[in-house]
Amino acid sequence: MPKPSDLLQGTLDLLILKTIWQEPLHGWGIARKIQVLSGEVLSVGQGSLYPALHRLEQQGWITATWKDSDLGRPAKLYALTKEGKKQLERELQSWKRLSSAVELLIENA
Amino acid sequence: MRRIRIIRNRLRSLLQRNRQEDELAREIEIHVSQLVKQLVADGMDAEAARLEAKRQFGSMDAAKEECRDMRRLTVIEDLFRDFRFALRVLGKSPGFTLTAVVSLVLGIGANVAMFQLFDAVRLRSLPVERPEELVSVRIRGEGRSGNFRGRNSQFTFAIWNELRQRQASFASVFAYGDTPVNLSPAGELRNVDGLWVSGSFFSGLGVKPQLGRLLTPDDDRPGCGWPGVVISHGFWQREFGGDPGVLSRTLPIEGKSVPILGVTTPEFFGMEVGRRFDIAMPICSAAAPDLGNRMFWFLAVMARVRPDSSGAAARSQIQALAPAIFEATVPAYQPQDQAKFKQLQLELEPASGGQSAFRESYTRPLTYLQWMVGLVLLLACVNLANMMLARTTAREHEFAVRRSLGASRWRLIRQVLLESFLLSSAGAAAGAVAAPLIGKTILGMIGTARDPVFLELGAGWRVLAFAISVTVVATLMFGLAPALQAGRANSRGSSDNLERLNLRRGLLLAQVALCMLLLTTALLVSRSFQNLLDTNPGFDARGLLVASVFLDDARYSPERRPAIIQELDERIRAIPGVSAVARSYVIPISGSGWDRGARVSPVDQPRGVNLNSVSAGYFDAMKLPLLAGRDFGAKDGPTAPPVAIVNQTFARTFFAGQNPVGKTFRLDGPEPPFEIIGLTGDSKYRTLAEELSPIVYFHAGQERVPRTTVRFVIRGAVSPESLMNSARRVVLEADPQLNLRSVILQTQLRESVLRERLMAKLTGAFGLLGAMLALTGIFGVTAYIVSRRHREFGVRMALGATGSGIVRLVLAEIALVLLSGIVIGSGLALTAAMLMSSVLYGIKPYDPTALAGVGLALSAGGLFAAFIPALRASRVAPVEALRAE
Repeated sequence: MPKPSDLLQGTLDLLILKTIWQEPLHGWGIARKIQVLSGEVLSVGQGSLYPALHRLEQQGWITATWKDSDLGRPAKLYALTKEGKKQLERELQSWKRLSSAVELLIENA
Repeated sequence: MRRIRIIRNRLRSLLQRNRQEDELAREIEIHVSQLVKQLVADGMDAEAARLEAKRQFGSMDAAKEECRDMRRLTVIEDLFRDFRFALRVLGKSPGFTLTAVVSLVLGIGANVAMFQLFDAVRLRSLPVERPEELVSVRIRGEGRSGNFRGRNSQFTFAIWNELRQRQASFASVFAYGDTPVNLSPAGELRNVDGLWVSGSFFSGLGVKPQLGRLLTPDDDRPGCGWPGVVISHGFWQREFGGDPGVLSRTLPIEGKSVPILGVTTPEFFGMEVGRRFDIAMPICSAAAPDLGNRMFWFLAVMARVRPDSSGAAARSQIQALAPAIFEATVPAYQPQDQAKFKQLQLELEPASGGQSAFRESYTRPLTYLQWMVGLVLLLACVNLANMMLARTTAREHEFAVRRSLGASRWRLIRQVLLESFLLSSAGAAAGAVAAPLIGKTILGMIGTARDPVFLELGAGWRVLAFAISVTVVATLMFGLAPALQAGRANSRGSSDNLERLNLRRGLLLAQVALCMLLLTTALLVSRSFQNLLDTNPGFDARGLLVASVFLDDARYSPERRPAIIQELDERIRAIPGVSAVARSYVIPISGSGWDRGARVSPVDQPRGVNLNSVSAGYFDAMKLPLLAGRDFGAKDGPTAPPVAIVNQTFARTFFAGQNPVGKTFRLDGPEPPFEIIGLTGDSKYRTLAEELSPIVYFHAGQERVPRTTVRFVIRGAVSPESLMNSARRVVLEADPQLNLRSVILQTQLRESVLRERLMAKLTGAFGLLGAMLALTGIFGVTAYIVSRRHREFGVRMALGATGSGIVRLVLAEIALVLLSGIVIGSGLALTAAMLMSSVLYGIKPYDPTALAGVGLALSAGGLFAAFIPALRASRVAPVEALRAE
């Protein structure tokens, strides 16, 4: 499976959860938003986006419903659940710890 | 909340599979079309955009597959698919499936049946309230002697009475004893199973009435006569057809019409596993001389421990009470024996399962049989493992293809295990149906008309758990090796040949060893049984009839007894074809007896001897040889000096084998010394299996009071059956109100070895079953091992080996495996025989003939099995053998 080489293992979950934390989005929207908001730096391979979405749904962090969308037809919209919000908090915390540690290392080494 | 969502999602994945698939396809389609739109907007032409979008997205099917994995769909879905596939695979080879299922039905069915029996006999609790609180009070130590009656002869009435009044540590304490009760006013006895019970018996156990009321302490008062009896539910159904008006009816017991007070609930069968009770009577109704007799042992005592008190407290209290109780109840023994009696102790044993002589005598045989059927199942599994291995080899191509198409190792293992599981489930299901039938057959073999066995073969949770674990274990045993082999199949094709052959050799060895173990054990048990049947009891039982006549106390006072005995004797003697008639108090090999201590001089330590009281002519009628001295005669009357005839073992024990005629000995009681007037041959007393014991015969004519039970030993030239009818007729001619019971001695002898017969029959049957399984297995594996080496043989022959050389090669290899199997099997068989030695009779556990015989038979069978394929291999042209692979 094509994994985004520039994404750390587990970061994809964080990106997806963060992307939809304010409003529900469909798969296409999530992929676009990650690409746009990261200044076209990050790009999620579609081959890994959908399995990740399905996994998160199975785990109960997000729910999916078919609704009318900005695409002009019904699409599967993913939204955070209450537990998903908590999970996002946890993922953010650990990401911050990790990135500051990496930064510290880079500056001082 | 999250858990609920997860479960809901899983269920949805499972149940709405098609919808989920549709949604996934739509979702991906939306994504791709958006991608195309965007590319077109960026200035690409439509066709190029479509191709580019597809390229960017990558393999749609791979993405879908991964999404499915994420949904955990595959596990369950694949299981269903594998299940269907397994059914198809098994259906395609009905021969194999049938063989497998049949051997499993036999194996699992026999195991479950044996366990059901074992459970009913050994593990189940009494059907009463809180059985775990019950303890049985038992007397420990030596020093009890006298008359022991029934299967629960632990206590005399006096001891029970003292115990009841003194104890304070139990919630309740109660006594019971079993006795046959005759319900026929005259003629042949009609005995039903009676139970003497103390007033607190039913309340102590917590048994409830189905109808009327049960006996209470108010019913059980000294001198109560016959206030009434309680009958069991089974007896109510059998005897009264469940008549609801039974409470107004009576039973004819001892010449009185005794009212029926109530009926117990169906589950209460009595106190002994394997038995049942028909009538419960208050102990106070027992004959007064029995209650007053401190040497009459006929009661068992049980107690219920207080829920709040520990068993240890009750135990120490009952132990503390013992000296006072035995002090107060000491019988009229000799002084030194009274001292011994006062040393007796009381102890408690857990009694949640009740007490049962039946259980005690059958626990060991049932345990052995349980092991044996376990072995049979093991053999069946080894056999199946072999067949499955052969099938996996044949299906190697299929597994290799599946592996290269991406099936995981685990998936293939699971597939084969599932097939095994289907087989064993089918076997277990059919086995569960067969088990009660097998169990009933075995029960039918244990019981006799005189001594029927009653066991409820329920299917409790223990039986269910056992059946399930047997099935699972069996599946793993025969399915694991083939499954692992299937898992090893790789896309290159065949897996390691040598390793597989070694596995096969190992299985062959196991089969030979197990078969050796089963067959020698079966042989040993059968020979032991044959020995028992061939045992010379010392007398000639053929054509002997024993007719017991019961003289009712009320109608035959002691003074009137000699006359009626004389008349009966004359009438029986007059029956055409009767050659000898005598009377005997104890009938040999009836399981009951009478014993005392005896000594030559008053200072000697008494030694136990078996006693009997017989009339003149007894030795002649039994064909027991009189070796020295004389038989009893008319001059040995009640007032003459007491005389006795002893057997050879008595002479050996007390007089170092010298002729004892003319010498005297004493019993351990106050009786005057007896003069020995004759010496007879040895004979068995209680059982056929026992060691020879010293026996003393007294003269019935010297008894001051003739006994109420008169047993005639009748030898005739006619068949015992016709003798039985004639005897009954003449007894009733003498007095139509007499009760009698007639027994053919040879039948009694045969029935005395019932347990051994059961063992012999069942081990024989299971041994044969196992041997059949093993032999087919040995044939199959040998043929297989040889056939796998065709190519090698081809090469050898191309290099100049001869046909006979190939045959020798094959035979040598198989012989090595056979020999190792036989050696290991002999070791196992010896160990098993050692463990079983307590139920073997007249045979040493180390039986070289049995081992050698079975070993030879197995080697011959195995070599024969190897010979045919070896011959075939040696005749194949080398080129063909090479080409065939």
